Amino acid sequence: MSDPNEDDTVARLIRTAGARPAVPSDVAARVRANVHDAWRSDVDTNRKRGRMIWTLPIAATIATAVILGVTNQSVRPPQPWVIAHVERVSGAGSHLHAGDAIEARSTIATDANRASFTLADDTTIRVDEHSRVRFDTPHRIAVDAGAVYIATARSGIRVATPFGIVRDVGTRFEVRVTPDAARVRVRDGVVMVASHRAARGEALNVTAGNVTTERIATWGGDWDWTMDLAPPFAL
Amino acid sequence: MEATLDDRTLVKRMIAGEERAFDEFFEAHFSPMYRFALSRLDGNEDAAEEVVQAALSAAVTKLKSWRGEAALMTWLFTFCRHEISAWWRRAKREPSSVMFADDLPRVEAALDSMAMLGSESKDTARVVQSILDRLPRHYGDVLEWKYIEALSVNEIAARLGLTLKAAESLLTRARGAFRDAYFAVHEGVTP
Repeated sequence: MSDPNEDDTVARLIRTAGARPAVPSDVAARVRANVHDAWRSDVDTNRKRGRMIWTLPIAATIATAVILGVTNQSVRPPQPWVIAHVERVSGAGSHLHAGDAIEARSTIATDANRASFTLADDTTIRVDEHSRVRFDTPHRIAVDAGAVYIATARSGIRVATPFGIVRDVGTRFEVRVTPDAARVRVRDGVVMVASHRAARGEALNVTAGNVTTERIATWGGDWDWTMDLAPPFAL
Repeated sequence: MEATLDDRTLVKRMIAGEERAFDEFFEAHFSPMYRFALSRLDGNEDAAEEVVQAALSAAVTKLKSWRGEAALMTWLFTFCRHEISAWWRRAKREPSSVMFADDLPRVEAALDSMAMLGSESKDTARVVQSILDRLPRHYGDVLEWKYIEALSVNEIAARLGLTLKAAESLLTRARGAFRDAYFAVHEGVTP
């Protein structure tokens, strides 16, 4: 039996502390989707690995009996979590090739090359020369240096930079990171950096602790590099 | 605090790929982790989202390595702390110099063993909320519903889809767990 005085104390403490702050539902939904992707991918990988453990001895026995010494059967490593594929590469000497799979949390560095990538939802990401980009999840990349141009198939992708996180709201935009700032140019749609919003024809210049907005052209030489990776016209 | 049977069962179900288990896992742990991260990232909501996403994504792929020696929430907080440190390194900044009561090694250990700070602490509110976040599933919620939202036991039962008797029992256990945690630390920390 609990002591009523102690129960009063519990009530008083909890009332004094107040309700714990609620977490915004849109944040919860985004994180849930990404964590679910990671979990489901891991579960599926383990299942495949489990099946491999059971089937391998049988397969090995058959292989040994039928074509001894011919096969080079080995256990395949777990399936990686592939979140993008290389679509196109420009310039010579790149270690990337069209069709290459990009695993979650892998980092892409371009030297004198450019490369474009497609995500499962048909979002395209074009990476400029001398850039360093990490593919975290299907909904999030991080740009440490250089520039990316993104054409989203649906809103929700986030681009982390050392100066803040860029959130798209269904759009085409470029994020360019230099040692001092991140510059976000919006060609279509809307992009958010913290509470700052940029629409078509606007750019946000983000430095440590400061964000400014300016008008920009949505065509012209500054965008030329993105065309280097555009798919060819099919006539 | 050692893992509860609930935690162990939940993790087994998740490893087996049960969708409902993922829902329960996320519902129980996301909000406490987000609040934990937000308060340690100077209130930067984007950073908190990034950190918790990274921490949970890493944890759900390492569930087999959880041995149940610590509560599941405690284990998840270790991922969160790691990601928070990594975030500050990436941002090339130092965390604010504010030291939270629940980050003091002694208090952190106490929290992990569900013990608590003395009531005179100016951080009492923060610590009380930390306890609520670390109590077993639904305990923190029912205590808030009862004492802050002033819901009746009937209303709590309806909200959780429980019988009246089960809700009464849950509330009693939640109150007991909170009281034990709070007073254990009060006795252990104050001179």
